[in-house]
Amino acid sequence: MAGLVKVGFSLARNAIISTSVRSIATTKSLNLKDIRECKEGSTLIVEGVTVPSPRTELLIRAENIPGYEPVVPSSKPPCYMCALGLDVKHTDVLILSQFVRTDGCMLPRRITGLCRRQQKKIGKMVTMAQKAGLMINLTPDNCKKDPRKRREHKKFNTYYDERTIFMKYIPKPLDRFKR
Amino acid sequence: MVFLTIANLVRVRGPDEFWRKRRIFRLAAHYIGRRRNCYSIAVRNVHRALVYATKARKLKKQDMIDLWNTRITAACEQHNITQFSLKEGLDRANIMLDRKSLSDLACWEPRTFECLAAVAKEKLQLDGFVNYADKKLPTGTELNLRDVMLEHWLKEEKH
Amino acid sequence: MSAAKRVQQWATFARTWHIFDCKWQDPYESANIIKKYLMGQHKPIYHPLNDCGDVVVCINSREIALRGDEWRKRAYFHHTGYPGGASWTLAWELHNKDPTMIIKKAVYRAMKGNLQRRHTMQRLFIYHEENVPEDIMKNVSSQIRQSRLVPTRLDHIPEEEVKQYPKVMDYPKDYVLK
Repeated sequence: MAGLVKVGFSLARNAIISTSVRSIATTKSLNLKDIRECKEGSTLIVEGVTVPSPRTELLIRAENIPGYEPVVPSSKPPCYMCALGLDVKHTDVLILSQFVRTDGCMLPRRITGLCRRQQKKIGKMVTMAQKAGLMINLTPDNCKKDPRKRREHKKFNTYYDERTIFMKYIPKPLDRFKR
Repeated sequence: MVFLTIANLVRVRGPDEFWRKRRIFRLAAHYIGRRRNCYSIAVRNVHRALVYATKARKLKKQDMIDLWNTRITAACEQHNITQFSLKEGLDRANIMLDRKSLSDLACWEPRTFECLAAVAKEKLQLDGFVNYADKKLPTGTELNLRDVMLEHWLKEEKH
Repeated sequence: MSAAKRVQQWATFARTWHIFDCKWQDPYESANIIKKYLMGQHKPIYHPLNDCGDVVVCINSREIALRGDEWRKRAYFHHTGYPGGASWTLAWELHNKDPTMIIKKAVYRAMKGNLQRRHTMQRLFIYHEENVPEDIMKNVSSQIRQSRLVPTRLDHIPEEEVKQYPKVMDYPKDYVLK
């Protein structure tokens, strides 16, 4: 009896909380998939639909830009962000939002395909943008979605200096007076 | 004066005391109170004032240079050029004006200064000299109002 | 003095009223800009003894932005004058209490400490939001350029524009959309 209740409970929970369903791998994943849920009466249908990537047409690669001259072939070709050579700031949310999940979490390197340095740089800039409240719609569901409702010092506007990203030690204002 | 004894020669203190003190008192004439009437106090203050005057001769020149710089920078901002590129452009165009005359022109003959700025800009453009500081934040005549106007000012109806 | 010269004199020395929008501006950077207008250093007729300073109206001072972690690292010192009367207030605490105080102190400190400073400060008006009294707003005839660009929040950009924006990253072949 107890087992039956447990199974029933877990089924009910699966029906309510959709995230736990997502961990079930239904098919072999080889293509870009969108997991869709639709409810027909009392049955919940979860299906992984193969979709074309919405980004392929808008994609910009350095080698496709007319007049692009590849650097002298060194040991390794640069990653696509290095090749583009964009000066990305933490306020460029339209670019940074491409590297995050819907909950605002930075994608890992095996998915973004960046080099180590760019992954670190973009990851830090995503953090900066999130702290400054610029990507407030890409946050977990329990977030209040308004930077002004944060507590204490976090509710005021903050901007960041991108030069500090690879600075191991950020000098404090008082360090000027040190010998 | 003739001193027959060594002791008196030692005691003598320069020329006549009256004239020596008078020279100091003349310099202290515009002081107030004991500073002008008592010699021992007056002489200290006169010495201090003379030291200040010596130092101030150099500082005055520096102060004037600072003032000219401020004025030229202000005038350059109105014509969207930095002081550096103005100087560079004028030098290349063989217009050898120093800071004093430039600031005088900026203050008293703004139209002349405007022409000088235009000459400098034109010369730099001919030479292919680009100063990115000028491009960064356009000011003065090249200011694009859309960049700086407050949003609600742009939105509101102009009568 | 002819009438034309007299008018020229008035026009040269008339005070202009400037407005400055503090939204997303660093107060310490903007203090240097505001100071220039308050003291009249933006005019070629400037002289320290020449009363040619303008009036500056700062709006949106609640929306100022500090760099990095300065909101909780920068402290403002006050001493009551009595023993044990020292107190340190963090920037965010001060901003909670009075949203105009940080920018006021920044401008005050940017100017050289002389007898003129307090009189120059009288010509600075700071408001923590956009609503400025009508009698002050009607004098304003000029605006000071901001030193930093105001960033746009992603949720304020129309969704269509976000979708149509050129992409740099594409998903790998076996990615499950989330």
